Parts: sequence; structure tokens; C-alpha cells
Amino acid sequence: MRALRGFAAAGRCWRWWGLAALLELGLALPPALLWQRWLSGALGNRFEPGELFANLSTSFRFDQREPLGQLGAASSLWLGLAALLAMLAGVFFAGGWTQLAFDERGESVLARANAGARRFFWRYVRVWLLTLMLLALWSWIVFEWPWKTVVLGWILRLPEAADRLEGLTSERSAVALRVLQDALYAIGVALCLCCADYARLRIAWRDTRSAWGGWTGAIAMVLRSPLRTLRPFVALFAIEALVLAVAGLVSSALDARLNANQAGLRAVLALAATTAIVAALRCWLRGARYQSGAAVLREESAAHGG
Amino acid sequence: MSIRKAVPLGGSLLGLLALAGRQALGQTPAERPFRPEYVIGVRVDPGEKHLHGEERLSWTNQSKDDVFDLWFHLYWNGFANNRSTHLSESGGSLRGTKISDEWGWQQVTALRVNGGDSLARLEWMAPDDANGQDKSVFRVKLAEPLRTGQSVSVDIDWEARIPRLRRRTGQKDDFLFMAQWFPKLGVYETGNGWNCHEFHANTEFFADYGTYDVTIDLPRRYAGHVGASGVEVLPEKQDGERVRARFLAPSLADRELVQADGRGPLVHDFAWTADPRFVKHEDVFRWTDWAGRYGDEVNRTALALGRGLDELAGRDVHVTVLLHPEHADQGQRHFDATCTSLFFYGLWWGTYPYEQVTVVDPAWGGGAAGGMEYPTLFTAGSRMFSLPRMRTPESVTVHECGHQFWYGLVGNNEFEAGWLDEGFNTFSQTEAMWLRYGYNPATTDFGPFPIEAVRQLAPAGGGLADWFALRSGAQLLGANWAPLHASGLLDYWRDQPCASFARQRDDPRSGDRSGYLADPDTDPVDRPGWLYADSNSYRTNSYRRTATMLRTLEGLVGAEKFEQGMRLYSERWRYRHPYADDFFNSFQEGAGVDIGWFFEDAFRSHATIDWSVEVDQKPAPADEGWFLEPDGTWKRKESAQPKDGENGWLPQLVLRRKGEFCLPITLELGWEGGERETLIWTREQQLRQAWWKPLAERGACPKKLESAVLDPTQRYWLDRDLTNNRWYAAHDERTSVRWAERVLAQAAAALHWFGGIGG
Repeated sequence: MRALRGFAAAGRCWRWWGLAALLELGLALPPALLWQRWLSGALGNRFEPGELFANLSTSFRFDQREPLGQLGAASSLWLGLAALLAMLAGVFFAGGWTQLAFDERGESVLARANAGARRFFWRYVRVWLLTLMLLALWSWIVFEWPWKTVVLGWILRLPEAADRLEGLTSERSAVALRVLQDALYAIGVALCLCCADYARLRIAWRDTRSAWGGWTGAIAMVLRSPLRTLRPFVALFAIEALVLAVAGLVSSALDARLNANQAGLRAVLALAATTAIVAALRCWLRGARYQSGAAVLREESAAHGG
Repeated sequence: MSIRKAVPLGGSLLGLLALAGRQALGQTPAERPFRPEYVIGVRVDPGEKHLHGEERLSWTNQSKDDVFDLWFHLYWNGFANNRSTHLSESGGSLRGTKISDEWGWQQVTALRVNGGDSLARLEWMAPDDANGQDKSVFRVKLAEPLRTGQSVSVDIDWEARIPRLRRRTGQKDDFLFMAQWFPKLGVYETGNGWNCHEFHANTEFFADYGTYDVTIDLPRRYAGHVGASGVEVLPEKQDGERVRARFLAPSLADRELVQADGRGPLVHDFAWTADPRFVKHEDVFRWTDWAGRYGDEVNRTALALGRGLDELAGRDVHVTVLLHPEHADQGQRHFDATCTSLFFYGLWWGTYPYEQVTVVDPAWGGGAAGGMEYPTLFTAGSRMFSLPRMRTPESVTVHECGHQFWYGLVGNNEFEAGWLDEGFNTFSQTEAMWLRYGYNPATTDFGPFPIEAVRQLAPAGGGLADWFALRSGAQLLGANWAPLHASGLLDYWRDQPCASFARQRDDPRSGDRSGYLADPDTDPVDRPGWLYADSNSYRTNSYRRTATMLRTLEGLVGAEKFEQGMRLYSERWRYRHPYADDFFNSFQEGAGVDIGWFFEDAFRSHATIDWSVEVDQKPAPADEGWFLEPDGTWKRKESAQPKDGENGWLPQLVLRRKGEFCLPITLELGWEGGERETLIWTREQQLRQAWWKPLAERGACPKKLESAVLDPTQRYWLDRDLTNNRWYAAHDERTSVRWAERVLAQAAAALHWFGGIGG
């Protein structure tokens, strides 16, 4: 229920999550424009109109592999840069969300959020950097020396090989191990991001400057009351998964129609609209995390004096 | 001593000259097969990685030569150490794994020729590279020369250490795949001597057609879980903790099926496998069922060959699929793919003559045994979670079963002309796959789980992009401390593929072309496998380039003549050992064409081709200036600016070729109103001049040119760039928007994920 209340509260701040969604889409636009421009030139008068609409043929992709490779590299570079900007934007918007969660004055949403975003930006940058370090540590644990030595070497006694998992006796064991590794990693990353959210909320709630203090306090709080702290996030995750599943079904159906060459630009526009709606809903859900987390933090503080 | 064509070849030029000289002396279609007869008993102790074998070989000299010695392969000695020719050529690694403690070897412990001890006369040979450390070939001198028509009996006992399964043969846990596992006689070629090459990294195998009677002695847990070339003689015999399975290849019934010319089903190798975990899927391929499903193709083939439907009818074949438990649900898919080969290959190249074919799904970690052919038995390869429309295991199954025809029945020398089976089989596989399965849907894996769609954008592209996308981090303590690691679940959440990816389907014929053009001119096709520049060139030339050339050949001569030429070749050389010229000659005779130049360009040169069409079209201008009137006077004309096309159109059309592989090519012009016009740019024209302006003489055309398309029916697949083969007056605006939207969707999903890391 707390998750739904948080969802409703975030819904009232639609200008803030709408702005976040617009920014995300804006950052995603340059590679799309790069592709549109290149494809328009590459197709030019060389293909019958609509011939590659449903499927970029094997021959086209092979014959254009060099410019496509350059385009891919340019797009990846932009996407990488945009990822950095998106993370910084995430830091900025988080400041707004925490302000909105704890500051219930009657000022406009945008004014309060903007003030919070500016106020907390550098503190949250430090939280972000700490998050990256913890993620790197977790990645190292799950994929590098500890995993290879302890799990593959000591426990499973797999010999060194190009693919050590082939030392297992069946593909089923290998799949299970990979899924376990992926699941462990995903759970760790998700917990890390939850703690980062609570760290930001604690910093805002207590108006402190220490990212480390925020983080350690958040970890302690989650360890102390795991169900209470994580339940709303899990519920919101489930809602987001549901939204994405529906969006996936809609997009797949539209793409299948395009693939069968039965649809035109309308289907493309419908796909784009789905993308925009999903981006907006996901930004809304992110706001709901902060609203729910703030409620949990208040209860925790009341109960434990945090 | 016999004349050996396998003299030390050393340098590649010398090798080529020696081989080229021999090709004209290869086996003739009329020559009788030598028919070695093997009776082998083998005992295997998997726990000890030990194999003990006893072999009796009978061989009759059917050549016109006196034979002074016998040459044998001991292939497993290629895995004995890092100095063997096989491991030297592969850089000490097999399929990506450095070999350090997984060696295998064979040691002959007794050798009797016609009952006389001949072990002392065993002599190691290295005919290809004079590598003294290579022990994959030996010969034994005969006490007396073997005259034409005389027979010899050889008894060989040997011990072997079974290698870890890293390349085609060996052991992985309880899974045994025994290929090239016994002392195998080379091939004697009249006038050339023994053809018995060392075990090279890139080449496969060559042996004569014969019969095998093999008894396999294994621990009892293998009872009922043994598969092999030929047919098992049931029941298996159990004796205490051991079980003995006996196989005859070909089966006794098959050996009775002798053709009118005296040739009958024989096999030229014997492989076997065992694993207590095998799950059997058995079914019968029924020719009539498939002929009913693909009646059009049957009729087309019958018409092309001028034969009745009864003459083309094939036999029913018992199919056994030996699967590992995690692929047990894929038995029907393996079976269906096997039937695809048995039917289409049988229809096109002559019926499969044996009563049995066995399909082996290698064990986990034994994938190096996968994708390989042996007579009446082949290995496929699959994975868990293969989607119904994925071509795994279908693609490899169709290919390896196809080798029952190209390799199994037409037994070319895989050392010296591997392309004659790999390339022919790749061509046939692609055609069969196209008819049976159509397009290949592309998939993307998230961990072990595939989805049927592909991304347009890479999540990181190396360098700075990796840093920004958190896929690269500080190098410390020998590790890359990147905040994010590739991971199935997280990557799925980041990409949201169902909402942001696009479906993609591939034409398998284009896949052959792409494979060829990835490396089109490093080597000519026709050369021994170990003399290609590298393994990449070997694969390109032997598989995809040959397939592309055959498809182009079909385009050149037409489907009917192609069928006739290929059929004559496949029938004439069934149970025989053809070389390149045998194919060229048989094809031309069967198809009734004289295209030696094509074979030279396609298989013995580096020639490539890129045709292109360029069009620049303008409205014809109105008359302007002074014009001589019929009455002899000059009159000035100055018209108003005409509407587009009012005075016709001036299309500047230029065809060009870059490259020397000239073939006659069709140009189709599409004129306003739907009128079509077809022109031919002949080979002779192309040889004279690298460009052609077919409309140069016409002046203004009354109708607007709407399209100019070279090779409109895609008869040829070897063009280096098909993008420039066509021109359309209309400009495509929608397609770029459609694909840009997918890029937007994927980027938006990824950026939302990254935003979440920031806050």
C-alpha cells in the first residue's frame, strides 16, 4: 500500500517526472537522428521504396558493413556519453524528488524540485560515485577473482580452460550456475541501488553532507528492517515489470506487423508513442520510489530515532 | 617401392606442382574400388583413458602398379605433443583451449603382414612437411611386392591413450566419441602411389571404400547406449561388468544393393560413440511422405533430369538420434532436419543407399565432437532453450547429414580438395534449408536465454563509450574494476528487448555470400587444405566461396542444366574419389556446356567482381538556337521552359564492372507506365571494356526511366556490393524513420537504466 501511496504522491508531481522523461528522450534522440540521416542517404535511390522497411536485408547489412560499423561506433560513443549525462541527470532529479518528498509546502512542484535538485546536487554526486565504487566491488566479487577462485576453483574444482563451465557434467548445471551468478549479481545491484536511494533520502532528511554517512546509515536501516524498507521497492519493481511487459507485448505486436510488411508509418508512430509513454511511466515510478522511501524513513526515524 | 605422390612437399609451390601433376592421374570412374575389409575388436576403459585394439585388414591391389609398401594413418598421434604437425599448425590450441595435459596417442604393439611379424619394418613418415616429431603416418614395407589382383592380410594390435575431447575425437567424462581411432590404411592411387597425408590442423580425412565389422567392449553401464557407423548386431553381449556391441558397416542387407555397374554401398570410415546418459529418439524417414510435401520440387527435378518419378524415389531410412538429457525435447527437430537432408539431397544428388543413419548430440563440454561427418553417422550440436524458429540444431544437422552425400557417397580427398565436399555441402545445405525452413530469424542471447529480435545499438562500443557506459573501469590488481558487468538479467532489464529491439530475418543464401566476401581473394579455392594462408582462408574458400560459386554457376547455366551437370558428377563419382578436374569435366558433360573459363575464374583464380549502375536523369530541354529547316534555311527557336518530361527524358545510364570475373549480366529497365525492357551486358563486352552506356545512342527517351536493375532475378551471388546494382527514380523516405525509431526506443530504455544509477 505504501508503494501505491507513493505512486499516487509522485503522480501529483507530474511536471517533474515529465521533465525527466523528456530529458531521457532528448538524450536518446541524437543517435536516432544519426541513423535516420545515414539510412536516408544509404538507401537513397538504391532500393525500391519500402523494400527494407520490414527487414534490413542480410546483403544490405553486409554491403554497408563499413559505414554501419562507423555509425555503430559513433552511436555507441554518443550513447556512452549520454549514459554519463543521464546518470548526472539522475543525480539532479533525485535532489528534486527528495525535496518533494520532505518539503510539502504549497509552492509549485517545479520550484520545490528545482531548489532541491540544486541544493543536493553535489552531495548526491558523491553518493553516486560511492555507488559506482560499490557496484564495481560487487561486479568484481561476482565475476572476477572471488567467483573464479572460490566457486569455480575451490567448490566446483573446475579445471582451467577457455570456458571453465564446460568442465561441468551437464549443460543444465552450467545454465543453472550462470543463472545463479546473474541472479546474485542482479540482486546485489538492486540492493545497492535501493541503499543508494535511502542514502539520498537520509541525507535530505537529516540535511547532512556526508555521502559515506548516508550510505552506512542506509545499509544499517535496511539490515535492521529489511522487509519494511525493501517491500515498497519490490512492489514498485513489480509494477514497473508489469508496465514493461505490457509495453513489450504492444511493441512486439507492432514490430511483427512491420516485419510482415503489413503496416506503415502509423505503426512506427505507435511504436514511438509507446516508447514515450513507457519512459514517462518509468520516471513516474522512480518518483514513487522516493515518495515511498521517504515514508519508510519517517517511520524508521520515529521508531529508532534515526 | 611404390611411386608416392606424397613425396615431401615442403614448400607450397612444390606441393602444388606435385598435386597438379597428380590430378590427371586420379582414380577413373571405371576403376574398381580397392575395398579394404576391416575386422576390429576394441576394449575401452574410460576411467583409465585407455583403449586396446586389434585389427585385421584385408586389402587387394586393384591398381595397375606393383605395390611395395602399405601406408597407415595413426591420427591420434596428432594429439600426442605440441610438436605434432596438427598441434604445431594450430598453435598448440584446439578450439581455443591450450592443450597441456589432455594428450592422446596410439602405439602399434604388434604388426603382422600375411602372418609374418613386420613390426620392425614399421617406419614413420611425414610426407607433407618432413616433421620428424609427427607420428600420424607410418608405412610398412612388404617383403614381396604386391602384384595387381593380389591380396594382403594385415593384423595390427595397438594401445592408445584417449585424448580429452578437444577436436572431433576423445573423451569427456563418460561421453566417448571415437573417430579416426584405429590404424587406417591410406588410399592407393594408380600411378601416384599412396595418398596418406599427415594429420593437419585445417584438413579432414581421406580413406578408401570398404567394409567394417567392429566389436566394442565397454563397461556395463554403457549397455544400450552405443552408436556407430552401420547397424548394430543385436543383442549386445553382457559379460560380468562388461558389455560388447558389434556393428557392421554397411549392414549385410545394404551390401547386397549393388548397382548395375557393380558398385554397391560401401563406407570409407567407421566412428562410434557411447554415453550412459544417451536418450534415444528413433523414427523412420519415409520418402513418399516428403515427396508428397514437396511435389513441386520433385516434379521440377524430374523434368530437369528427364527421369520418371519412380527413378528418383528414395528409400526409407531408420534414423536414430542419440541425445543428451537436456536436449531430449529436441529429438523431433533433429529428426526433421535429418529428413530434410535425406530428402532434398537424395532428390537432387541421388538417393541415400543405407538403411540407417545415426545422429549424435555431443555431451556438454564435448562440443568439439560436434558438427562432423562420418559414414552413416554424424554429430550435430545444440543448446538448451533453443526457440522453435531458431536454426539450432537444424542448421548443423542438415549440413552434417548432407555430408552423407558429399563426402560419404562422393568420396573426394578432404586433404587436397576439401572444398569438393564442404563447399558442395554448404551450397546444398543452404538450398535445402531455404526450401524447408525459409528465412533464419536472428536472435539475441540474454545469459542462456535467447529472444527472437536484435538490438540496433551496441550498449558500449569500446574506448570512451565503454567508460561512459560503466563497462570499463580502472585496471587494478589484474582486474578491470568496471561498475557494471555484462549479465543476462541486468542486460535484459537495461535493454527491455521486447519493447526496443527489432526482428530481423536472414536469407541463408546471403549468408553464404557474406561468408565468401569477408575474405574473397586471399587464396584460390582449389588448393590443399594445409596450403591456404590461414584457417580463415581455408574456411572461406572451402565452404562459403565454393557455395557462392556453385549458386552463381546455377545462375549462369540455368537451373535445369545445373541439375543435369551436378547429377552426372554425383552419380559418376559415387563410391569414388574425384578431384577438381573430374568435377569440371563431369559437370560440363552432364550440362552440355563448355565453360572451362568459369571454373578457372571461380575455383583457380583470385578474380572478383563488382558491377554497378549509375543513372543521372534530366528532362530533355526544349529546342533552343538555330535549326536548319527542310527548305534549307536556318530558323531560330526559343521555346518557353517545358514542363518536366514534355520533351522526353535524357537518362545517363552507365554500367561499370570492377574486377575480372566477367559473366553475362541482365539489365532490366523500368519505364514510366510499367513498361519493362531487358538488355544483356555480355561477357565479351565486359572483357573488352569495363563500362557500358546502353542508352547512349538513344537521345531523348519519351518515357521517364523509373528503375534500372542489374541481375534483377539475382542469378549471381558473387557481386562484392549489391547495393550499387540498382537505381530507382523514387526516393525511400519511410524506411529510415522506421529504423531510427527502434534506435530511439533502445537508447531511451538504456538511458533510463543509467539515470537510475545516478539517482
